[in-house]
Amino acid sequence: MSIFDPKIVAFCCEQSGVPAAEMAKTLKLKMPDNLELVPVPCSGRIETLYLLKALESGADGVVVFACYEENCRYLQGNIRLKGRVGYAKQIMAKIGLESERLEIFHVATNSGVKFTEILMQKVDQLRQLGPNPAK
Amino acid sequence: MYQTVYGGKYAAPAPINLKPEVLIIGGGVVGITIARELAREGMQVVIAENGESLGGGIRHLHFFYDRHTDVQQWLDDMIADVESTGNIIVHKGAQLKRLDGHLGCFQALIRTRDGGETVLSPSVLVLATGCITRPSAAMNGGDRVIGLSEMEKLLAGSRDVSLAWKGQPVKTVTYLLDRTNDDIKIDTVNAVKQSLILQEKGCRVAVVAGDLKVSASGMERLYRRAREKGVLFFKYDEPPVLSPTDDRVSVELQDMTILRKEERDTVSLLSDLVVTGETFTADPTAEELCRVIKLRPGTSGMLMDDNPQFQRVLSNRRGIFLAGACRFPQIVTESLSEAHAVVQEVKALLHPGAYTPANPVAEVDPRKCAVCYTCVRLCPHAAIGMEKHGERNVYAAPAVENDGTLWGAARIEPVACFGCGICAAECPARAITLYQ
Amino acid sequence: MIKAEQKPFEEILEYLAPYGKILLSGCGACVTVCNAGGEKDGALLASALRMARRKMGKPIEILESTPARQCEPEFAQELTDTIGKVEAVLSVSCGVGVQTLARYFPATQIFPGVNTTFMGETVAHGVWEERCQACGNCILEKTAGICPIARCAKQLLNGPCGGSSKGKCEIKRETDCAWQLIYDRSKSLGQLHRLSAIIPAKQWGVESRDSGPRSIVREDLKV
Repeated sequence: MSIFDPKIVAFCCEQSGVPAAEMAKTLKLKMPDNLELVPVPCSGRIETLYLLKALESGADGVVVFACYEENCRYLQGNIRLKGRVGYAKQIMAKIGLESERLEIFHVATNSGVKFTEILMQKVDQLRQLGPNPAK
Repeated sequence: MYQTVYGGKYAAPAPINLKPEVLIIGGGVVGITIARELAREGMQVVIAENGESLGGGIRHLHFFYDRHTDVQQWLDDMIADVESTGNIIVHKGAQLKRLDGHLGCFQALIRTRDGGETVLSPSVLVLATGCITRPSAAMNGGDRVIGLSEMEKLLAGSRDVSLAWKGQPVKTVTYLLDRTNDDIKIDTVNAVKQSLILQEKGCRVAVVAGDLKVSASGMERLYRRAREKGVLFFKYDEPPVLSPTDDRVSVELQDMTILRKEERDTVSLLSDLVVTGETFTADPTAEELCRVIKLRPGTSGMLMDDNPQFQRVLSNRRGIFLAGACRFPQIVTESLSEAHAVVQEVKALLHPGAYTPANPVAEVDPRKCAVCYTCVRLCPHAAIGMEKHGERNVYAAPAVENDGTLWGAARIEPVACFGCGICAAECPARAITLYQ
Repeated sequence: MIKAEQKPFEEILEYLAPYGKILLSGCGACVTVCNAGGEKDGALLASALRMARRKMGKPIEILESTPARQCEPEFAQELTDTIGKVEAVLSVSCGVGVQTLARYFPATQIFPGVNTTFMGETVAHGVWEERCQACGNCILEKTAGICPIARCAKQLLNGPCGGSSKGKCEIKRETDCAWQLIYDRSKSLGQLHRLSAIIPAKQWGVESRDSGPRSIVREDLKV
């Protein structure tokens, strides 16, 4: 039996997640094979619907790489996102999806190593959870 | 690549003309500096000063720590220059009461104390409203405890004579700096500066502080010179105790050079005068100003928070800059660097004569807008307003789309939009699109 | 405006169980404003329903549409073609919109997706509070513009009950006592004397819906 290779959709804020991803790439760090990076101008751009749609259309897990709180270039973006992720988790709970399938991580531009570590840990976590039953 | 908006039309935001006109709120040293430099560039500058004269908080200062200029003379020269410059207009006793519009076409209502009203339409607004300086909480030591500003005044008044306080000669002075000002170094700078002047006058000076903050240009050197000249520095963990004697004040503290706490002796500094630190609070008008300008107040009541993604003179609104103590209380040299930074920013912004948004811009589809005000409330940049007919909200789109008439829906001003997309993500009608 | 909130998810799943293809119809007016049934919240519910049904092994196809309003027949008419293609409709508009669809489409099952909760005001972004109960005979002129019918737990008409304590209601501790608000506002307006007049008991049976559904008929407007 082949090992389950979970699909991860990672929304990346252009102020933090995207540079961190680029750094990880430059450093040639190990990244999950089944990964889709979605750049957004600010994590505040991510609609609750995007998070659900990602899960609906095939993701086993969704992560958001946002700036640290109080570091948002647009002041409120990551705070608004926090509320939306909370709401999305409520909806996921009603569907019966595990809360671990959606998570925010705060990174800085130079967090290349942290970026890949988070993703690799996520892969392990999702392997244990198994495929997203709702996709 | 601005894509179609609605009706299949391509709509890149049009460039907006920028007249070289600047409104500066606050006529302190920062406001004056910015005004002079911008006026030198040929810009039309208006200063709205709340007080009855220019100068602001620097009126308490007489000595620079880093040069030998007399502060008040230097300031008076600058004010005279400002008041004789043709393209600087100064409104005294003036407050900003209302601000509409955005970069390039602000509409500012200035009301003076005599009730006069002026409407200005500057391209850019600069805030330099300063802060309020107060002596730290009163301490037990009677009338021999004074604040740094009072000491500054005393020193300025006795440049060529020996120091006296209430008729009595002053031979020993102790500075007692508390820990209320976490990141503010004004206290340290002034205390070290004054201690050197006092030392030259033959006084014995001690500086007692929790932490000395010397992270300013030349301050390490100044501190070393003070030590070399014989100023005593004491660090404390437990706040020192003040007790007045007959004609002096005794400052008692633990000798921190002994490592074991229980072996520490008490050092007693008998002083003719004790000088305490000062606290800095936001100007009382700051809160109202934030509301009028739609600026984000910072955590401590100052304007704007420190944010690593921001250059420090920028605000949450395009075309509004801030500098000096209204943002953070700091020493004059640093406030002036901020003033220069604002000058550079304003010049860079206004020099091309027009502004075209370079970032993604959000746009509302008026046919879907429910006029719920979600975007207006949440926009961190005050870039969204409701298009109204005759000041009334209207819940109906005009018959012909995009015909230039007002439509009774939210409208995002492209010039003021930073392109974060918060509105697009929050709109319950999904009426907002962020165009890249 | 009318305020609503989404029905419990399991409830919706239960009554949609027999259907494989539905229309989720939102409304661009009140329920959009209170984030219950606009295009965004409709899309969220649709996505959640699709995932839940897929997880149950019974996928459902959901069409989405959000007319500007659902409570007028002309807007309902916009949905005619779409409704022809589905087995049932889940309407996330208020109860009025659901019934407009039901009247206009006699052959289709129309289910509510939200609970229409009250007529209220936006107190802060994301916070709505009840303000009017449509009692049918407004007394706000006597109560300083604050309604004791909608905002007093006991709907008292002539001052607070004994449970009003430190300005709060005894039924719901976090709620302001309506009569405290009425008193404070009357006082600050210098209108306390208005409170000394006795407000007579309401004629619930005549004014309000106790005598059945109310209707307003304007003969001059009829066509």
